[in-house]
Amino acid sequence: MKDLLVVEGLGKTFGSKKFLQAEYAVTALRNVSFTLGKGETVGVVGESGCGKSTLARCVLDLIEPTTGSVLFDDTDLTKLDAKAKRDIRSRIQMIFQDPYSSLNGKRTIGKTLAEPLWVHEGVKYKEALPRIHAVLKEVGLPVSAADKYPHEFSGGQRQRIAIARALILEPELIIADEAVSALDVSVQAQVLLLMNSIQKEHGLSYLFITHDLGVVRNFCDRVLVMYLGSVVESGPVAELLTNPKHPYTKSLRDAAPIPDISRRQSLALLEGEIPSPANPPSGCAFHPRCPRATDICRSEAPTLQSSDDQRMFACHNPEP
Amino acid sequence: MTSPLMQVEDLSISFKINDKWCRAVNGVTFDIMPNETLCIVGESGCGKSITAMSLMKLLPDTARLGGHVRFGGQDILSLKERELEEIRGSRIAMIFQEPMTSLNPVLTVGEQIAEPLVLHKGMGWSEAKKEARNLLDLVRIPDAQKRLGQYPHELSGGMRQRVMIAIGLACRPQILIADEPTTALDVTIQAQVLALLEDIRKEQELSIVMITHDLGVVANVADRVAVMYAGDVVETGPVASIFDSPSHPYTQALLRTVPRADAAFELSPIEGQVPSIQKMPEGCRFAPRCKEETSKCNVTPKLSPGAHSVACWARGDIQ
Ligand SMILES: Nc1ncnc2c1ncn2[C@@H]1O[C@H](COP(=O)(O)OP(=O)(O)OP(=O)(O)O)[C@@H](O)[C@H]1O
Ligand SMILES: [Mg+2]
Repeated sequence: MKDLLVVEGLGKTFGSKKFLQAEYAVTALRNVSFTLGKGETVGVVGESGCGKSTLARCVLDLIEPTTGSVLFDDTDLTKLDAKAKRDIRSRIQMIFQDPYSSLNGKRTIGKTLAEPLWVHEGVKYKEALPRIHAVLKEVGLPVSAADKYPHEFSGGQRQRIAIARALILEPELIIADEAVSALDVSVQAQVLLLMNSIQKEHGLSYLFITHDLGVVRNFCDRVLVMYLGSVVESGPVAELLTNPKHPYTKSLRDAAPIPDISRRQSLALLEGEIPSPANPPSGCAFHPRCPRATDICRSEAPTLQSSDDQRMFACHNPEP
Repeated sequence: MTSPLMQVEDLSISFKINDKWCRAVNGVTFDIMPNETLCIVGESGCGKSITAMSLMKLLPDTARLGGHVRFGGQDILSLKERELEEIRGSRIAMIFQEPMTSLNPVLTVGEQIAEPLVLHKGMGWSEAKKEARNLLDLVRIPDAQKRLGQYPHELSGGMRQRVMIAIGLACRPQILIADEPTTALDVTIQAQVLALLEDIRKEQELSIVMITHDLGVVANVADRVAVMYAGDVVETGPVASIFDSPSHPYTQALLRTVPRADAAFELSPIEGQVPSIQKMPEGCRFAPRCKEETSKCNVTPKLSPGAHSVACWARGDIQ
């Protein structure tokens, strides 16, 4: 599989230059590297504040990373001029969590879908209509939806519209940031299956950001587990969840409640809370909450190592 | 046999929308037993929250209520505001999804926990503050003395929810209604809060009514379950029986839509969506999305008798 996206050493520190000397600098992302193949889905999981969305925004070039590179189809996105950036941006699209605020309420769905065609290809509304109708059908909406406004649709339908808008330029990569989190499970399943079938049809790649390990298990090929701005473990989904190496991955998995009475348990308890990125712990950022922590964990940050094939983890005392 | 702590009988809730009364909750019946966790589960808009609010008659004046909520020899729905004030927060307490909006931003944690004790238990402020400290220990907030003087914005989401629980428990209520108490929290914090609620329920001999849309949470904390769809309780029973042998087509279908972290399996969505209260179908409200719809389904089915009961024409033993 050829890699569509190669992210290397990506880091992001927020704070002005003046702040950087002071203690207010916040490192939201630290030395993140991964690849994403054509037609592949890579998940990014972790608790709120772990840097998932910052990662997405750096990849999409909505914010400038402090360090590292983002190679998309062999071109470094961080080194392009404005025009080249705009051209390549049509090949990467994003879907956000909130289907309510991400659509312009004053515009018809047709106008919303026409906008990227006008911006990137100079295509006028009338000429765009056949493509608008086609993409609406593809996401399972009637063509009459083009003349309606967002408030006339349910949450699930709005998320279909957001998918249609992301699809209309026929991108190669879609970044989905908690794209199904706000939906009811019955509708979430509809949207996940839709995204799956679109992927098969177009050979798309997804970077799929979520806090839901169930979604990861059933929708992603590989996954990155993040904690306080760093990737702590990555690998193929099934192996990683069956046999997690990093204690944080294991805790996340064991805290996710399973709808199965035979799996009823006191959901394994991870003590404490995620620390503030403004004041990260010494050594391994996870050590204050880690049941396996030893002295070395308090003083030395572990680096990512690979166990076998595609598994990577950063831990001094990995799970057996 | 123990008798129920609270009996909800044929509860209906309607709202007037564009001059038309719409029945958001369509005559639901269930019991709350002493010292149990009852989970009310269902998708968005199916009436979980308004059902919960009506157990304390907390709905706006624009709502029209029908049926009975029997508790301690009285019918909550026929009580006057003054009588309700005595029950609310004292014998029945409620906590919500977003503690930030239900906590008062300008009062300290200590003041907010002490307030119901002063109001309902007639304690003096200094005694109430001492009790507040005990309550913070009860909800396992470390550094209790320091926390008492802090304001809500100084706390994390998980800590705020613990404070809400402390306020809810202050007067030692018999029933704690928790409306999606962990939905806004990360999974590891959710696990902490669920474990805390479970421990407290055992210690305090409390009944918890937990409202959730998450079947995983239900499987892990419920003793009994009521599954709601579009304002109806469509199935109810002991948790093991609901998960081992779900009966209603909606419960069965719902369980197939939840992606599980422990195994890959074929997700099958339920086509369509929950109807809005202005466009509720006649008869069984799930029928338009149901794969087993029959010619009888245009009449509303009633819950079958028994511990595990189901309201569905395609399931034999019902009237
Ligand atoms: N004050 C009100 N006026 C009119 N309609 C209302 C009012 N309060 C609630 N409703 C309607 O009643 C129905 C049930 O609402 P409720 O908030 O109980 O749902 P829920 O099951 O708690 O959903 P969620 O999972 O989204 O919290 C919804 O259709 C809602 O729009
Ligand atoms: Mg609700």
